[in-house]
Amino acid sequence: MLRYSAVRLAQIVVVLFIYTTIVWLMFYAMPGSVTNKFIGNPKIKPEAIQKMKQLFGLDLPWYKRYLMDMRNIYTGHLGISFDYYPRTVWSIITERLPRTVTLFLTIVLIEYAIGFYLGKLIAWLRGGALDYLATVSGIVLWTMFLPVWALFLIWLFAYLAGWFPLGQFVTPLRWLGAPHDANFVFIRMLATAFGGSFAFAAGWVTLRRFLHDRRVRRIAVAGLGLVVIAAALVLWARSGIGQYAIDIVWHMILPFITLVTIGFAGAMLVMRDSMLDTISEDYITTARAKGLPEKVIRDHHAARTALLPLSTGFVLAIAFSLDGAVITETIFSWPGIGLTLLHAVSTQDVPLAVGAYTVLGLIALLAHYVADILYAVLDPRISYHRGGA
Amino acid sequence: MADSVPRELSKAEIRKARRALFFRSLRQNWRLFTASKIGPIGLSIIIFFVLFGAAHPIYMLAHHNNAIYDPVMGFDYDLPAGTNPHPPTWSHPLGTDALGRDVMSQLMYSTTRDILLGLIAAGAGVLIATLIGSIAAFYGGIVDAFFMRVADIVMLFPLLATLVALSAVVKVSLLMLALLLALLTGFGATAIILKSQALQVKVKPFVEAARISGGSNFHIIWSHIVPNVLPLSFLYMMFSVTGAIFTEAALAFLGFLNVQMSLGMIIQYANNAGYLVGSRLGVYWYLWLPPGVAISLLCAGFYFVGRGLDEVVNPRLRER
Amino acid sequence: MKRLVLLGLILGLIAGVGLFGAAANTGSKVYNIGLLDDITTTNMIAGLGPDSSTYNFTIYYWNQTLYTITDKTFEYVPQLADGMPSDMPPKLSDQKQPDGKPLYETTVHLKQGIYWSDGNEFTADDVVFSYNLIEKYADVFGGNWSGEIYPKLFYKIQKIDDFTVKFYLTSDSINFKWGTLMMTILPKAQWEPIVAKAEQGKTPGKDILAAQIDHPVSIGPFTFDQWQKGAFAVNDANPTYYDQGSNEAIFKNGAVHLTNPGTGNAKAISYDNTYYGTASGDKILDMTTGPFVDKVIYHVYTDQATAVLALSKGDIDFIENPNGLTQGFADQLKSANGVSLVENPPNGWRYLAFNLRKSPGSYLAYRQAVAYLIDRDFICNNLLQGRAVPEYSVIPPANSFWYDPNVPKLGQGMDEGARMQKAIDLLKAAGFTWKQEPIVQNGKLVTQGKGLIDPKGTPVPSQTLLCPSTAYDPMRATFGIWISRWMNELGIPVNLNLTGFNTIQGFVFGSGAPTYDMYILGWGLGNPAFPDFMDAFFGSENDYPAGFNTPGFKNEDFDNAIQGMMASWDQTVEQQYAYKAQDILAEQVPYVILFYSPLTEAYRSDRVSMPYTQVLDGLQGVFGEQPSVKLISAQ
Repeated sequence: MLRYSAVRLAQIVVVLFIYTTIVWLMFYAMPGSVTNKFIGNPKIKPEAIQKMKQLFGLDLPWYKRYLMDMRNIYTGHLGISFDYYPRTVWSIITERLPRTVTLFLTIVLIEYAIGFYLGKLIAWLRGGALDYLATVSGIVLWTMFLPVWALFLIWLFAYLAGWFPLGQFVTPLRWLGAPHDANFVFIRMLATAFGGSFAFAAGWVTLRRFLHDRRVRRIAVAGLGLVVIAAALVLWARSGIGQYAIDIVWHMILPFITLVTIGFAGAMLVMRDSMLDTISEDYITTARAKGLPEKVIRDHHAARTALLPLSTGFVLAIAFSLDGAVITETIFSWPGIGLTLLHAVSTQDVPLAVGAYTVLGLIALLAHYVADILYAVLDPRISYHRGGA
Repeated sequence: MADSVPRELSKAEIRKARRALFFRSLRQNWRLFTASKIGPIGLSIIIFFVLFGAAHPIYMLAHHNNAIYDPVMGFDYDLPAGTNPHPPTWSHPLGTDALGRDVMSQLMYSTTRDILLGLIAAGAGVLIATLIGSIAAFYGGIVDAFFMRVADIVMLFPLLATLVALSAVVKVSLLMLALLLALLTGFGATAIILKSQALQVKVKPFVEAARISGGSNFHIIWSHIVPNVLPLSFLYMMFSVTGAIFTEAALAFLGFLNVQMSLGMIIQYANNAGYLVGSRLGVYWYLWLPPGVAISLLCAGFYFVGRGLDEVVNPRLRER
Repeated sequence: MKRLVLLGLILGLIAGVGLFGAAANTGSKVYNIGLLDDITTTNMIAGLGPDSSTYNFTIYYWNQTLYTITDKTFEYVPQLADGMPSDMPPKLSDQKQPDGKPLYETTVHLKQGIYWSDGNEFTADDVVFSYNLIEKYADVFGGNWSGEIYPKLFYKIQKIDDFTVKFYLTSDSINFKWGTLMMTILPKAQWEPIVAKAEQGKTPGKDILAAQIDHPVSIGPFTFDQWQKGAFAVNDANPTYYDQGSNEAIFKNGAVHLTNPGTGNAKAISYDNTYYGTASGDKILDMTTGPFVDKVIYHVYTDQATAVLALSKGDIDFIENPNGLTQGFADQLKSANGVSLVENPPNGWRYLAFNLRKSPGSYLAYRQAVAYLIDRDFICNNLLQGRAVPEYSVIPPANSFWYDPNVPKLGQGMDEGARMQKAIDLLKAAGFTWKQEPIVQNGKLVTQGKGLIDPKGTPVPSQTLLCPSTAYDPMRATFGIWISRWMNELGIPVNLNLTGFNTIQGFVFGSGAPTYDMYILGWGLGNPAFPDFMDAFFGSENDYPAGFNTPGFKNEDFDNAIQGMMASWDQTVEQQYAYKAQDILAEQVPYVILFYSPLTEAYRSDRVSMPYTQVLDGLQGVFGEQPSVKLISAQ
């Protein structure tokens, strides 16, 4: 197991290196330059544009630029952006990434939770009206054109009803004179989520080890959950930045509703498929023969196993959602990593584009890695031999 | 029979037997397909849109004056100036857009092009994935590892951003977009899935038999492995079409698609002109609802066909 | 049952958060402006250099200049300076350059009693520091800076006393008036330590650009409060703004009367000056400067539809958008209560460019023929329904002082047949022939032309017309589509290439002499007070790779006219030359000026009142008039 992890990590490094080189080549081959945005401004003379190109290092020969850019990437600050000169790419990404991650982590999590629950249900009741209804409505929602759906919901709930804000991720009036920037709060929200989940998981594993009576264990686990949540709430209430976090959450609700309604069908159908696969396994038939109640078979045997591909799908979905996030970020005015990436690509801000590609690539690779480990850990039937792929 | 000597079948007889088996399994699969209620629904949706798109030349002919109904350059001088976008009338069943072009004509014209885009992108992509998967599964070892690493790297590329980046280097027409999508998706996740399918085929006895009887590697891959992977390929192709159409619409909406007309572009024109805001959504519904519904139904249609095929390909999903 | 409880809990939570969120207090005396992109820096040197953008400029109310231009009429008046320079144009100096070349000098007095927001007094030290700093690093800072200081022109600056400086220049070029004297003055107290630290390193210029300025020292109507990256920025009213309560009165006879009673705040100064005539008669503008708001909050919206909804709802009072509102957005806002729409001409136009370096673009007859073909009225009024307005001169008609009302307008008012005939006649007279000649009968084209052949006998090769695609600009794309159709009908083989701005710009402004055939783009023109852009775009010395003279226009008459305009310091003489220059351009058509699209903007007239709404380049050109806007009745 350990050996496998080490091998995979080494692979990640190599893949990342090849990936960043290919990305760099792709941008190097593009015509035009980031200074194009100044061309429309007659106040800026062509000599000034020429000097700017020098400033950005655009006049160096390709191999020098390659070495310079690669060194920038792998020594941490990812270079200096052209478009936001002289901000470092790293500072730009660390400003934008937490927003996107917080929003989409929540969205994907709930999507998969709903998908898990519904998929489990409809797979069990094969061919019923519920199966039909859920599939059809799920697909109808899933194929809706996101921008129009988003604009419609904004108009309905934010403009007409006024329940939610018209986009953005903070309300300026509430943040006037705030002691911290939004990033500070986002990072702490993420930390709470991860810390809380980790504490809960650790507690659950411990309880499983020591409590064998199922009913007692269930109560203990529920209690543990309540304790963790309560602790988090108390921590936030006393931190002095609680109101800012609530403001951010308020701004998350509308994009959240928009995307979860569209996306839950994906997770639901994957869960359904995997459940159907599991149901036809022998041990389910055995459990039935043993006379166990349907609900127990469904939840404790079938769903647990079917959860496997779903959980790896979840990890991968988070990584992939960051790219497609651009439409959401645009319409809801959440300038995040998706918008940054697309803007950098279209204005040929090469350091920022390459840096964003690298960060997203790294996240995706780590997600794959976690997914693989998760699969290996959760499924006792799988063992990894040398050279497996 | 113990005392009859098996004779060698002639090539013609083998081919005839193959064909008969092929058609019989086709009929069988068709019955399975229609048994899944969802598959035929999807198929009828697709057929409807194919006919709808093919009717465009008829639509143009029916209105004798082509110039007015041209989807890109049309303009109706009979409408009073300043009334574009004009709500639906008898002469313009879906009204006109902000530049005075007939929306119905645009819809029909774009439907065909989007369907073709989807089919080419998905078809080419899945073809690539099938070949890669089969080759990787067959040779194993370093070939396998190489292609899997390539797939890993290709999957890292964020799709939208890369398409935008590439559009600066090549002129992205709908055909070029289809090919780019095929390349970016064909080398990725689908290849991995099809490879595991090919692995299952590889260990089947008839493949072993073919190898013993001296078939060349190419022959085994092409005539034995690939055909047995194809059903699964076809399945994933259906899902890929959805992705292709969606990507086109997303790119067009963000303003990065430089084609003159497509389903996504119709919505983009409406958005650019500012008709997708607030109560305009209701007043100018004919600018976004038809293309939006077309995109949704087309994607749903292909998805349903895919689900129908799922039951054909994966016996465990069938009703007992 | 359990599920229902859970569902109820979740809905309750959402409702609770919703109520909490909606309860944000509505601050009074706040002017809310919507931006369509985030600002990028509060370091003004970077912000006027490599990071220059409309949205940065929208919040940079911390600077002033020695001289500036008035609202609406763009007259040249002192701002930080006291009175006009002693010698305009600068006089020949006794001092000389080291190599014996002459120097020119002029003295500028500064207003007294002005204080920076950090409490330091504004003196000649700040002025000398600023000019020396920019002169030293103009190359590195780039952007707008080199276009202001003109390094080749500026020789040195000398402090005479605390409130007097003397400029030394290498020539008496008019760039001194419109460039050097309109440069931003930086606060020495804030920047000197930064510069000193930067100069200890290896890349001082870059380090200065990279300096983090959290609280820029201000001499203007606002001071910077905070920047919540990606979301919003805030400016506070400057309590020590020297010009609080000042009044600007502009008269029909051209006179400008600037006064300040000095009672606006504790640090306001008093003065009473009149320029360009006697302050009597009808006024064009009578405006008092505040600021009359406590704060300006700049909200960042990345989607124009959402910004429009925000304006409609009242979350913001004005949207800063250099492109104005498109049709549908204007439509939506028309029906919103309390929102007023204004329409203004932009300071810019869209154009079709030829390449005069090669055939057929080198032939005047060819260019004029194409110019005649273009029926602007048809496209603007019929197809684009008035969203575009035909234009013929490089000077926008709204710039009334410089615009020649008698500028030649090729093809105006002609119908399709007449245009085609005129184009055919022009080409024939110049020696062009066709494989198949186009024929016009009874005012209609009955035979399309094919295969134009230039006077030397070479068939004209397929001309590629680069044009922004419909996704980037439907108006220009429409022009491109129809122009290529008309040209093809005339027999000129045209291949229309609809693509993105970046691609076109890369082609046209790339390295090496431009090889394009034709392209359609647009220009935002610079200073409306003095059209020296004509020199930049068409002067023969500006024909070099990546230069602005993309068509390669070299016309002696034009050069003489332009140089005459630039050499004179007399406005009447300048005007005559400007008339001549634009007439020549309209005849020679290196560019065919196509149209401008009026800027439609909106603001909440139920919440704010603007001193004026009609101005060249619209409200966005003056960034929403923040120092003088007044709030109507508290919420």
